[in-house]
Amino acid sequence: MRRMHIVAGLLCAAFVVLLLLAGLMRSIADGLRRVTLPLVDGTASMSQGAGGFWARWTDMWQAESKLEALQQQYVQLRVDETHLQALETENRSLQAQAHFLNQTGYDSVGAHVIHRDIHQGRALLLLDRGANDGVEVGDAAVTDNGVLIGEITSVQEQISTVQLLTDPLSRISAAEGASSTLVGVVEGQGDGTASLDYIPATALLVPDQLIVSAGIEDKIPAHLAIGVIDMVQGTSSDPFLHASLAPLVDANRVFLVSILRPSVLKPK
Amino acid sequence: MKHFFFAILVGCGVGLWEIAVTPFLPSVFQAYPILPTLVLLSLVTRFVWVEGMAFAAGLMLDLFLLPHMDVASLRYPLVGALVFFLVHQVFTHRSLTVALVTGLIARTAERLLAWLFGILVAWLTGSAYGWASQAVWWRTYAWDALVITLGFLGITFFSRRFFPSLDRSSSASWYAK
Repeated sequence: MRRMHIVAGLLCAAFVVLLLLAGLMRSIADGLRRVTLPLVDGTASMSQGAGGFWARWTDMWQAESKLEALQQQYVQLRVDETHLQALETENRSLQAQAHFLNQTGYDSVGAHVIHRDIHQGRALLLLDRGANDGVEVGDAAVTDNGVLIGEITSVQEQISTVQLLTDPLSRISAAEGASSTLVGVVEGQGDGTASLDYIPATALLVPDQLIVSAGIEDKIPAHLAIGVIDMVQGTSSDPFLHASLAPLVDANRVFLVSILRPSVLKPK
Repeated sequence: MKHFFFAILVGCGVGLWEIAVTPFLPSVFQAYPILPTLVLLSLVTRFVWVEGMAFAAGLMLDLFLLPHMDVASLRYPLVGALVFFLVHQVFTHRSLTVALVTGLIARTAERLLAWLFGILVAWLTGSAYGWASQAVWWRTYAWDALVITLGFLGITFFSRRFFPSLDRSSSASWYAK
């Protein structure tokens, strides 16, 4: 009798999972998610607070060595004219981004990060905004200072997933910051970094040069900062060059995200 | 029935921890508590409670980890059944060593099942990407061992049901009888 109960329980569980897989229990799953989302959201916020406290503590612990490194970096920046030019370019681009919401007809919705998966080969963030807030697949996700971090790849009623630029499946067209010339495709490496591929051999890219979005994708505006060139590989005889990108933001410290929606999609 | 609901609640709690707490902790503190809890529950409770806890935890993961294709709500009950079988049918006693070995086997089985389900579901749904190995897998095993050790010692201390290790000092004389 007891064994029958066990078998019946296992069969019920397998049946429920099969229904879930078939998408027949989507409404039930949405209901369960609606009930548990506030709990998950609240817990994630508290965890972020604790994680932030730890990060600040470790930052203080390493402050001395960081200060020394920053001083060396500052001296190098002072004497390197190309670095200054790169910073000027970056500054211009950031100033442009500060106003891009008004200029490009994009509306934004703020979202909390409630889960992140950036240590297991993937680079994904789970947000507490979904289809109910007008979020759609393909929308761009930016940080509070306008740096592009990825695009929305899946949406449920209350939640959505951001595929970060460092995810191995991420492909975003990129342009050079100052001239807005298309220079290649940013591809995630799955190890917390991204690379710029398919760079025409004629492109003149140098380390510390700002790379921005090209705006070729349907819902991702142009001129969003992506990262700076770290190192360019290849020779002039190669058809394409390859460059590694240094990200402008640390995905581990992203807690708030703005999702850009074309204004026409804004819910009334 | 009361205990069954408590097991469900525990499952939801550890599932919530893996969703909303673990990813935001510094990487060295990122523990995944579902499996250690499964092992500890297998030592002290009934099969149905273990399965209830495993299903509740897996369901929480499936609800909030959309891109994952490793069907946690099916995977964890299967691992739970394996763990229960090991603890009650294979091992002859319940010691800390047994708990640690069971945890090691359970984590390996869980990763293998995740890989298997990932490939299967990715193939069924035509997705390009199913499963990725953990970057620092040994850290997960280390945290499993630590959580199981603390949990086992806690259960031993509060319930006095087990001993941290099997006392074999008198076994020779017992068999000699």
